[in-house]
Amino acid sequence: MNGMNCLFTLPADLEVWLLLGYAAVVLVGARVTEVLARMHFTRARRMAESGFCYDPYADHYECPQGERLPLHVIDPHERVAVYRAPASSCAGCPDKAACTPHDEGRHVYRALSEWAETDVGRFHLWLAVLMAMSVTVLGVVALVRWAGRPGTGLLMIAFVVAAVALVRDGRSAWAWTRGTAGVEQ
Amino acid sequence: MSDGTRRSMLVSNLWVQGLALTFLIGFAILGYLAIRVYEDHAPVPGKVVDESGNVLTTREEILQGQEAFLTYGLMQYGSVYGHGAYLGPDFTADYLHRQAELMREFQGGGPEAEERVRQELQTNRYNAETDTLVWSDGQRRAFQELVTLYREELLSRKRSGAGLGPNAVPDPEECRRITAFIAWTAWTASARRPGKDYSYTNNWPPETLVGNRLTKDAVIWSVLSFIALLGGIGLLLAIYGRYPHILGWHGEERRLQFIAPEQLPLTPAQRSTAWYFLVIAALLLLQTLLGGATAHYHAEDGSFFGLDLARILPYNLTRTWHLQLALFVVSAAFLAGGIFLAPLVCGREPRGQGLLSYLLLGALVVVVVGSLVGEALSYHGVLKGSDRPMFGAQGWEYLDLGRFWQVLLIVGLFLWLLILYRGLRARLATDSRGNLPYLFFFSALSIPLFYAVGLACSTKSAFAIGDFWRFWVVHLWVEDFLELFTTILVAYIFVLLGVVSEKLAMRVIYFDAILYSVGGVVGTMHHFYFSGGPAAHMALGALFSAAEMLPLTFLTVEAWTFLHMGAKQEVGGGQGKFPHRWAVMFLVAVGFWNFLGAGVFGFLINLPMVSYYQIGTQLTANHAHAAFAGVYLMLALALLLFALRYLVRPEDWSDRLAAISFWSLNLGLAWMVFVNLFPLGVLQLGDSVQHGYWHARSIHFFRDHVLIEWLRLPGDMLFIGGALPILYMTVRAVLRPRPASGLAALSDTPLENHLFREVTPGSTPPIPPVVTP
Repeated sequence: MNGMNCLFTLPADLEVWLLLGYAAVVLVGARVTEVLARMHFTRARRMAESGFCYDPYADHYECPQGERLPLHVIDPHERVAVYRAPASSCAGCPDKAACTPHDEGRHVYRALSEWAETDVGRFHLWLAVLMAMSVTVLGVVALVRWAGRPGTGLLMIAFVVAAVALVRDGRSAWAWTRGTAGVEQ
Repeated sequence: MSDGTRRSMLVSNLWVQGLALTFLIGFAILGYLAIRVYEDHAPVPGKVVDESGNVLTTREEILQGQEAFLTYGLMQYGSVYGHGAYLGPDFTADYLHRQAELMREFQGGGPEAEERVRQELQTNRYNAETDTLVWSDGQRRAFQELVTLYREELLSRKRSGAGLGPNAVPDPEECRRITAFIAWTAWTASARRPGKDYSYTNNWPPETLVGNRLTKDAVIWSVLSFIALLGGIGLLLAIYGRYPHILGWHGEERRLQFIAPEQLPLTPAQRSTAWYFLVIAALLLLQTLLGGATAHYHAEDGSFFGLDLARILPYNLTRTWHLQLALFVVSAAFLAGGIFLAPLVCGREPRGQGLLSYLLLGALVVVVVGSLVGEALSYHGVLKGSDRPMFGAQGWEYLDLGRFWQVLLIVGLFLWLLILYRGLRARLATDSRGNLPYLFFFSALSIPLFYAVGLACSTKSAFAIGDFWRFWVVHLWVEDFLELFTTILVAYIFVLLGVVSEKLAMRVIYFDAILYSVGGVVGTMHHFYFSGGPAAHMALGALFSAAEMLPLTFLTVEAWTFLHMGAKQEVGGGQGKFPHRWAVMFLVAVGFWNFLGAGVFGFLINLPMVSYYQIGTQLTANHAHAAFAGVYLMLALALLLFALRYLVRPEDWSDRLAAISFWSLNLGLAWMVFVNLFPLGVLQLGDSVQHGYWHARSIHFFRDHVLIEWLRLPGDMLFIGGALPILYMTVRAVLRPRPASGLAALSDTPLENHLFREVTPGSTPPIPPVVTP
């Protein structure tokens, strides 16, 4: 009966509340890190395109003057798709000087890599894994220290949530790392 | 700006005017605060007497006690006013609590006695005209008891323990003077300022026995600074949305082929930097090992796995060396980075630069070895009298080194500036004073200048005045001018690599510099809420330091955009490949830790009402590690790897080793932060609120949480392991330098300074045929 009481009563100790709060903040922080990094990756691509608009259905870009840049080549090694405007169109464009330094038509380079395939993406993914791992480890410590005392149930819930996040994030990060061969030699 | 012979300014003059105005306003406010701290700091009385007029101590003794406190390294063991190290107690809070308990006991205990003691301690009996402070009978008796207690429990204990060796301060008279200094700090923390209802320390530390509670100023300025942060973010978002193509990085059509690292001709000065990097890597390894030992004292304060380490390397010494080496590693990397970059900027190198560079390296080694040995001799009591602060340790946290070594270091930094000036002179003569080469030089100039401000802080300065100038170095030097130099250095590297244009880089640099300086200059005062200065420092410090979060947020976003863009601007395969993958990854880490460590963790503890309870806890250590190791150390390593790529033979370069180092250091640091420092700091903050600050800072707190302290070990091991591959690569660079055929034969021959070639689409290497998606 005492054991059941411990599971369903609120913690009496301030430290347990603080640890639960910490666990919540770090687990949310891990998610926020991942989401922000992904959003930022998309933004960086947009900024790199600098006013050129990509149409994913037609697979071409449109420049600020309305000229189309169809797919020119794909470099599978570097995972870059190159789009090129017709040289004749650029030659007559009033913005040419500010747009492209050569006479072969403006090129736009589109990275084909997913966020998690990039080095930066993997860095943020593994940080998120480590954050989930830290909460899992602290969860074990807290359960050892406060087992059988009020709040054990909440600590167990926090531990399980952290462990699930750890497994999920760990598998995802490992898959991306293995799939892209990791360290380049 | 252009005078006909110089290249014209690449960006609008408004940027320069904006930056100048920001500095002018910031330093005008800081100048006003400097005057206020001299006028309104807590007085050090000429003499302290009891109610019968017997002299208990004097100003001379209190200041001698302060000097002994500092030169025996006690600020690197515990703290006063929350400033210092974290294992030992905060002596101000500890004395105040013990004193109040003793006085209550003398008066027979109970609520009435407690109230009498509270009144007694709050009453300010300092007479400015006679320069005399009168202590009550209770205060006198408590002082006499605490002199004995501190001597026996801590300063002259018979066996190693609590992180200190036996007989740390052998002279009983010095123990008495140290206690007199601590007692004076406790007096400033309880006696009410004339005409005010709060103490000289804005009621810090929180202590119910003396009626110290959070002041309304602290609450008001906390709320206002939070509002300022939200308003600032809104304003910046609006500006950003309105002018995205002026303020941010954006794409330009450039297709680059990078020069193979072994094809870059190197100058003698550039070659000399291989030795700098070897020294940096060796110091980094030592620094991390000392960090491990320092952290171990939190888990086992009596021994090091059974070894009596404290007898030789007590906690205060390992921590002093740990901090000093962190500064040396980063500074040396900046010196080497500047020396390596100058010929790339200028295109040539004057004769004698190599020799000067080796001279500077020699001076650096002398300062490092001399100051570390001096600190050990000072803490172990081998040096005596005025030799202690001169050749041993001044003991102010972060300005620990002896005055002689401090002056020598400043001379060395100016020698570095001379080397840079010689290297850049030809370029400076032909460029606008607002363009990138000048920005590079001016930001380098700020490094010795602001470090030299530390000379204003001496072991016998009134504590508030010494601390005020100390924070000019700790905060202004590190958080503003090093950050500025960093931004310019990194941007310049990317300009030299052709990843961004000079014009774009300059706009971002000016924008960053203005943002840093808006919050960073006056924000220096966020360290100074409770050190005995007036409340104005808290008000302005809180308000402006909230703005420090803004550049850190936006610069991180910008840095990532910049790096994402840069990473893809390369020609595929073979010789043209981007050679700085891991240097860039270290810069990515800088962005992450800058945002989290400096921005989020910094803001978390900067609000006065949070700082009131947490100053000097593990939350401070958490911010310090994530910000300093995460930002400056990672940056130092980015510079190291960037230069090393050109210094080693191609067959000696290893991406695998660089990768191991990158992952070990970053995951090790993240482990330290998320498994140990951050959670322990949260628990310590809770303890401070619940049981009092003195309790949260007692060694019993760490003993109660020893399991979490042990959990730090894997992170520390990982971090230390990350230093080894770097050391191995730098050893290779020195032992097997690149063959002379690839090096510049004459030092005054113009160099081919481009690290890349811009290729037009027609001249690109064959690209595989179209693959239909």
